[in-house]
Amino acid sequence: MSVNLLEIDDLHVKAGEKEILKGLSLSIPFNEIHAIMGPNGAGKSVLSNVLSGKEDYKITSGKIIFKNENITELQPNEISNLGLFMAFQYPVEIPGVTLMNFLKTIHEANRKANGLEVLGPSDFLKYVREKAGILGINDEVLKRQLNVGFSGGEKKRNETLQLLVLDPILTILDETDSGLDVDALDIVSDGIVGMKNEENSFLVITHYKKLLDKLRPSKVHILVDGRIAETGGPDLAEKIENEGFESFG
Amino acid sequence: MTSFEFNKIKESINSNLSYLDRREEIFSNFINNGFPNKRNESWRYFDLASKSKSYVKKNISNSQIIVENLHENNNFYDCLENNLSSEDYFKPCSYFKNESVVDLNIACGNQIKILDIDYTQNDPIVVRINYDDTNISLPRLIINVSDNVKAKINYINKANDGFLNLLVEYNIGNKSELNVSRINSSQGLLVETNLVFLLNQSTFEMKNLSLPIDSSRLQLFSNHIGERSTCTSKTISIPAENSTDDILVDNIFSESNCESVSGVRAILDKDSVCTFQSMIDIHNSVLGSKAEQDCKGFLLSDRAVMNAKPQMKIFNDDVICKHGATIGSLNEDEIFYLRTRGLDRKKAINLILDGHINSYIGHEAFLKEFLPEEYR
Repeated sequence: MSVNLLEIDDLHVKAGEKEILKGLSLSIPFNEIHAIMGPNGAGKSVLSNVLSGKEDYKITSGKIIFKNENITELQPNEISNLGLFMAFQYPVEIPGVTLMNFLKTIHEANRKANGLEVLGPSDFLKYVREKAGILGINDEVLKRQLNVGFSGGEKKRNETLQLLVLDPILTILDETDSGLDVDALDIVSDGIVGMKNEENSFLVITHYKKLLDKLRPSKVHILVDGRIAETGGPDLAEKIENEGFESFG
Repeated sequence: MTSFEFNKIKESINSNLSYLDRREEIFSNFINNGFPNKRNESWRYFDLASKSKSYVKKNISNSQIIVENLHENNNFYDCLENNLSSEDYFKPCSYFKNESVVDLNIACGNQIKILDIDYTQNDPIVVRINYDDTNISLPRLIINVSDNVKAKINYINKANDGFLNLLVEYNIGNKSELNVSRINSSQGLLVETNLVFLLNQSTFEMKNLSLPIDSSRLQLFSNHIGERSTCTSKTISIPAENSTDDILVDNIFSESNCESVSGVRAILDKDSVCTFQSMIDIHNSVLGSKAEQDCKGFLLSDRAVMNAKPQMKIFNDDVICKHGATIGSLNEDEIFYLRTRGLDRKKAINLILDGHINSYIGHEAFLKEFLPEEYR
């Protein structure tokens, strides 16, 4: 039995005929924030999609162990209900579905899948308002259609609200900081730091040191050409900021 | 086609003497043209000649037309032919040339009901059309809305069998507003022709939830005969497996500064078929028209079919028109997004479709009640 929350072992992934991940290994224990940085096209978003169960990619070898369970063959909803949450880089718009209705639907699905009692309407409303309040989201926003007409920052804030509502065990933040202004970045990062505890962990994919300064990750991994080229502490992000990725090629 | 084949139907003409000669003449016209088939452009996706074959030698039966929740100052009554002036009786024929389903209704139909809405009423009027026979039924319903009146109709067409060829006329008075929420849950062969006449500054809005089992055709002709009149028709079409839902909307602009919006959102699974044909017809002396027509078809199966045919006949430059058609399967990125939030594929698809329904016709309780459970 692994002490790590997530263990990725020698993962090879293809998109069509092209191999994107070429033997990637990574371990994330509980109560840690890990960051992945890497140049464009290194495979960062493919990794987050594969961890979430996207069927467009073919895992040719290796395995992903989450909560001691091999999730390599699981469906996206099964992975989600185990407690893995991905905050999308580009969240999609779903017309006609209000944010509140959406949150209720996914919260119910999650509770049912885990054999927990579903909250009644008033308890759920109270619960959502509390979480929305942390991010400065008011009732008017909750009545809007999911991501429809939202600015880039509002979409990312909405992703963070879903994260707070579902309270997952492992969260992948796929470039959540892109498109956020300074104030929104503060609100989102404070929300994440406030969530971190002994029973969860975070994997942050980013191009920018700014978010990492706020989140203070335990480890920074450099992903280049489908493999982890180097792992270090927060000072590695500093090095990338100053020197770029060339020395890891 | 010979009149002999239609002998039983023709008997209904002789059973009533009103306007006999003119009715005989229209019946002859019907016999000459026959029911439309694929060669008739506007019927090319709905071969009525073939679909109606088994009904040709059958009798005419009456449908049940029930009106509920009517304010005491408004009236619903049976109409004897001689209650209608010749002009009113044959009014639909002056708008349709060689439209066999209308000709057959006018010539042989012996069931006419009139709903006069003279007073504004806040509660919706409920109109139910029931038909449980295996024959042909040719009912006609005339709905007159007086000037300066607002009303809403919750309309349920539930033909369980047979061939229902229904003609509904809406006469909307000056500065009046009629909202119709229509449910089509027919299970036989249905052809429903709606003829809407809009006087000055009048508004007609139809939200149509069409859930046919078998073959259904709705044709709606809006006639803007008054200035600044508005017609909106929005359909959600969810035909059952192997069923056909054929929708034709024709907006005829005879006066200036009028507006129309027409469209369909179709959810098509298995072997179901939906067709949306729409026409914007703006006459040459008509100014300041605004019109839009669009459809979206969501194909949930490789065998489902959506036909879209937007058309415009515009003879004046002072017009703003939009049209669009999108047909395809659901966006897999949207489905994946919802699945990463814990919803299985079916629930994710249903939530997306429910959203499209809500964003198109709103959260109206009456229509929601009839929606298939997965979309409520």
